[in-house]
Amino acid sequence: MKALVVEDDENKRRQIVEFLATEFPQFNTIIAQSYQGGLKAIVSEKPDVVLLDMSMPSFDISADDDGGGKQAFAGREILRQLFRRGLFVPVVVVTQFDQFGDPGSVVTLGELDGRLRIAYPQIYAGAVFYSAGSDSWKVDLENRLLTVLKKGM
Amino acid sequence: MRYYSFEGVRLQIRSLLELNKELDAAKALVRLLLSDQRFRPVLPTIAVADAVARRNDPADNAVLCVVVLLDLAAKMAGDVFEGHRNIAYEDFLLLNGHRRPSDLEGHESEYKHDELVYYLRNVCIERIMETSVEFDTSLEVAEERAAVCRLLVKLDPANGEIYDAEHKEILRKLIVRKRSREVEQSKIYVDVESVRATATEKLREQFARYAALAAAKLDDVFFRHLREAIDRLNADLAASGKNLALSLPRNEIDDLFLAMITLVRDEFVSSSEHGLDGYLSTRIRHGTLSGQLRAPLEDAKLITTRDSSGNYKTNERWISAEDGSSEVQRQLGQLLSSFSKSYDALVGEIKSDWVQIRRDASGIGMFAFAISREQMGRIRRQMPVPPSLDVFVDVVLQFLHQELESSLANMRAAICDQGKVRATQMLNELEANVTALVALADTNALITAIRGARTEVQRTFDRVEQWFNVSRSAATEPFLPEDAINIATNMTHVPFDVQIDVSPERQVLCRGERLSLMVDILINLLENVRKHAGLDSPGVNLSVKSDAEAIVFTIVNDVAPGALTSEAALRLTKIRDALADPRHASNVAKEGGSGFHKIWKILSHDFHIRAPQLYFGFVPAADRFEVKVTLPSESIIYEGVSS
Repeated sequence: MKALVVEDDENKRRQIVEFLATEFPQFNTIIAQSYQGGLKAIVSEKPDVVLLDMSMPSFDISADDDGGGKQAFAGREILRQLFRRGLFVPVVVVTQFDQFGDPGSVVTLGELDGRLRIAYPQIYAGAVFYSAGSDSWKVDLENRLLTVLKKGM
Repeated sequence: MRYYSFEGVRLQIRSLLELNKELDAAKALVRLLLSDQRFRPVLPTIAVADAVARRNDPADNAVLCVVVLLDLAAKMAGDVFEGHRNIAYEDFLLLNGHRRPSDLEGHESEYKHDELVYYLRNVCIERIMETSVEFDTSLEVAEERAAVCRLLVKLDPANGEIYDAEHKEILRKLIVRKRSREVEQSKIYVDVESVRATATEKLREQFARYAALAAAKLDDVFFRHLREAIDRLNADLAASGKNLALSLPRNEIDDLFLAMITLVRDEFVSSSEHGLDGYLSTRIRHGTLSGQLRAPLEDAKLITTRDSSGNYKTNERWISAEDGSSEVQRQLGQLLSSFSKSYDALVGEIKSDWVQIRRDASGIGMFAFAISREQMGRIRRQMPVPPSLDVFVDVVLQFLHQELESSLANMRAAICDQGKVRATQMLNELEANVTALVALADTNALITAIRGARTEVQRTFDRVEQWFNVSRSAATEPFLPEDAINIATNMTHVPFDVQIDVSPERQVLCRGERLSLMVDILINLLENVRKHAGLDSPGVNLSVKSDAEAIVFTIVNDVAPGALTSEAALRLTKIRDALADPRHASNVAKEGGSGFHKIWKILSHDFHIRAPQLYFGFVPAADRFEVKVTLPSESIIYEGVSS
């Protein structure tokens, strides 16, 4: 089974990958680091589950590419693209922010979660709030993934 | 008359919506909106866009007016229609047999002119095109936008100047990005030709002596035989009860060989003019490293600077913004101040303890070039018979390059495994400590800033890690002086605005291989302002003037009132005197000073200017400081081009 982690924060990505290796050893974990990298990896790798960050650069950042603009709702746009292309792979959003967008049009994680549930019920499997200084996200993520697995992967 | 026409169309749109003819409504609305922008606030744009979006029929996006409608709605209602618009942008192209917007060239007649111009001008912008899987890099997206601007100049000549200006700005950004990479990749540098010439000259006499000793076969075999003979003689003397130990004479050829290697090494490593340490100082230690590593935290307003007494200034962004009790604000102030101190200490450690030449066993310095007997033996085995000075210097330089590669690998590992990890931990701790205050105050915005900065700090360390590679291919393409200014301001991340004036009379192109050096000078000038202006946001004007004789950079900045004291004037006089002294090079690798020694060294050594022109001083009665650097045209200009 293949899990795709789409995450641009190196520290968070490492923690998620380590968590998957420990708790879900059946997963072969692959990574992407941007909106474009994530979307292209889903199309080419056809993972069984996606752990998706919400705010990311448009492209992978490297010595030769500054990554383009930072997209506050990159994760939501990936969900939209998956839905549009009929790619119904379960997606768990893992984010370290509880609010998104510019001042004046801020969306809370709770509001975003509600909207994504309505818009993409076939794909969206919930949001996990990640905190570098706490392990509570691991419990939450484990439950989400067990639910995804139970639903028939 | 116009009013009644408008009212008629508005009624028509309402009726079409009632009849579920959403696309017809969209066409009527867009036609009216593009003909007269004054109607925008009073037409039912959101209602029509919402009706079209609810149809959820991808085929609708093949119609250009739908894309225009969704963009207009996104501009009015924001987030709600942006996703629909982004998908419509791409669908329109694909459904009409195109991949990229520039592919529309030659198909202009297939679409309504005003809709096509709107689409290219407002929808085919970088932020929206980045969401399309058609592109693999941000560079491709920027180049596509430049192509769109060129197409727009043809389609909409009335606004040609606007598109031309955007086109130029994109190309300028692409050049700055490309050239910044070249400069970043040339930070680790040694002027090998100068080292070779200097070492060869200094070694001529010593090497002749070495060659004579080698010719006399006074080599290792000779000294081994001699040592064995002396050991036997000492043993015989001891056996006969005589206590007269004979000692082995020094292996002069070994000592000479080591001294010659050491001389080349010291030129390569320690010379302030052409050696590694001089470039480490000018290109990394003097502000650039600190500016880069602090930048993401300065952008997030998480770090402050020290005041004149050495204490960190109050973080006014967060202390005043947080809605908490004064005790909470006090605690928050302490946390942020303590964080600033810890982070600056880490940056200081990297600068002062890591990016240094290792000179003793103290552990300071990650650039180590100690020469062991084994390494000396390896170098000697590569010497031809009879020995040649040129080959000797080349072999030693090759050995030093290998040692440099090894030091750089250690440096990269330290930046990633220690520097980045420690910086991340500091931000984790700051987040945890600030979170503990949540019970008392609303610190959500601050926590969000910390989390965002943590990701950026990790990226910054990754970028800095890449500096520690041996300079790759030198830049050869000519450049404009203003490119160098833009690169320098981008790289220094100075926390103040720099007003840039470029003399419009004449543009000159500079030789590509001079780019890094010109950027070095400008970075030193900007860092001087940061360190010595005594103000958080001094007004800074950086101008460049070119003529047939020279390129002149002038930087004028505000300084704190009262900065012009007799002590300050005396200090400047001493610097001027020191620069005139041929021994000034010893000051080049020192940190914390004015940077004028470094600029002087770049002018005299790297640009080969016999009498450098570097003026600096206070502007009397104006609380300003001025520096003027003159680069004679023969040392830099590639080709003069009248603009």
